[in-house]
Amino acid sequence: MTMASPKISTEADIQIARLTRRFGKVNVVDNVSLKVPTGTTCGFIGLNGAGKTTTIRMLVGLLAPTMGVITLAGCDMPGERDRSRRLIGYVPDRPTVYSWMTGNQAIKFCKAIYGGQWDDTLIATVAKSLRLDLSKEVKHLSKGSAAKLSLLLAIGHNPRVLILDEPTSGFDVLARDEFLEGILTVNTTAQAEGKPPRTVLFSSHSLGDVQRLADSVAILHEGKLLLHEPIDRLLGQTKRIRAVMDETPQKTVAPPGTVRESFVGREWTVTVKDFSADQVEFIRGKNRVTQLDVQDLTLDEVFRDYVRSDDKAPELAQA
Amino acid sequence: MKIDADNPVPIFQQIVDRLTSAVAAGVYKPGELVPSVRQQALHLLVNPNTVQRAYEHLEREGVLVSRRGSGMAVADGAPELAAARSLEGVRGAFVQGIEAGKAAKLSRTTIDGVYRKAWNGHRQTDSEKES
Repeated sequence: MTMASPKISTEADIQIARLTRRFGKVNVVDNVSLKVPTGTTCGFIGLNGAGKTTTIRMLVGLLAPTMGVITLAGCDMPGERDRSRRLIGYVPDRPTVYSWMTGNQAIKFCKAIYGGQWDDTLIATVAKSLRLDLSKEVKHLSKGSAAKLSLLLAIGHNPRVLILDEPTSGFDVLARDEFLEGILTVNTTAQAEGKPPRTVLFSSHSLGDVQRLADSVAILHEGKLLLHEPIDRLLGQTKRIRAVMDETPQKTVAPPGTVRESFVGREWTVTVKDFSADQVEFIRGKNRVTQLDVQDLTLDEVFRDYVRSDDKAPELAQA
Repeated sequence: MKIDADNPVPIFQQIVDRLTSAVAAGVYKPGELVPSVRQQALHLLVNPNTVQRAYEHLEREGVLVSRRGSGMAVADGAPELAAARSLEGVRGAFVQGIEAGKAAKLSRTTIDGVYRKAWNGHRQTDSEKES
């Protein structure tokens, strides 16, 4: 059950505090706290089974938390789920639209639910950027087109917050580009009309899409939130230091802020967060290093190093 | 202008660098409007907040000026400024190359030779393009 709690401030449209969901004896989501500032987009990444979909289902009120507090667009979830429906849009990982309806019929159906709040102009603009044929029946739509329709249905009521669960998984490159353009059109249209920008959270396995769309990145691993940081800061301050040791194998002393280290032959690779020259000095000072260089990392590499930070370097274990 | 989403350089920085080079190369001239945040975001398929921040950064650098109601324009004197910035970028790329050469224990003469060969090869492909 949700704990009775003081209201959290509303400057962040998505707020999660100490969120936990237990299935049997396992905490599938474990004490997660996350704030997504209003008007920004958060890319929510993690391996399969990390707890992303469970977190998202709790966020939109489809699943009750075991513990913790959720405030979405100013609504306490799941208590104020009914009120939140007019304020949030949700694209689930498996879109559910009646298969016998055409796109146009599905839009009319949703419009009837939301009434005057429904924004035909926004639907027309976004449908155009998605290049979606609305006269086709849902059962004849490709995976990409079904997801595009799901996006359209989720934004017609002009929601303040948009939540998408792996929206582009399994898309071909063209469908992916069109879907991204659709999301960006939804966002830029609000801004062009002088409305407050939307707050978006989307989970994805495509780190390229995350780089393009997100202001910040949250990494979930085995139910725990490893980090939530602005993407530029994360890429700018996570570095890989490659040091060549004078002999192998030997004991090494890793600097503060080490995320992951590994050995191949005499090459010692250390990924560090909050990079500074002090970490390089530390490595030089405490280890017998003959050569050293510092490398920038892609988001893909940063993600891999964070989620693999707890496994031992196999070469060292065998030595 | 193209964005590489699998690059270690953040997209914000890529937009700043690409626009700076475009101004230095005279693609956009002083007084001319650059594409709006919305146009640029949809064209590059990137978050409009990122484009906005890149434009604001370029404004602080003196490359762009805000035109009330109509968007961002190239500032007077921006081409010279942008050229100087681009030169810094080129210098940085050379420093990286030199570091790579030093890491491989190459002599200065050898590295100079690599540069000359690369330059000649590059000029050849240029002239092939022209012919």
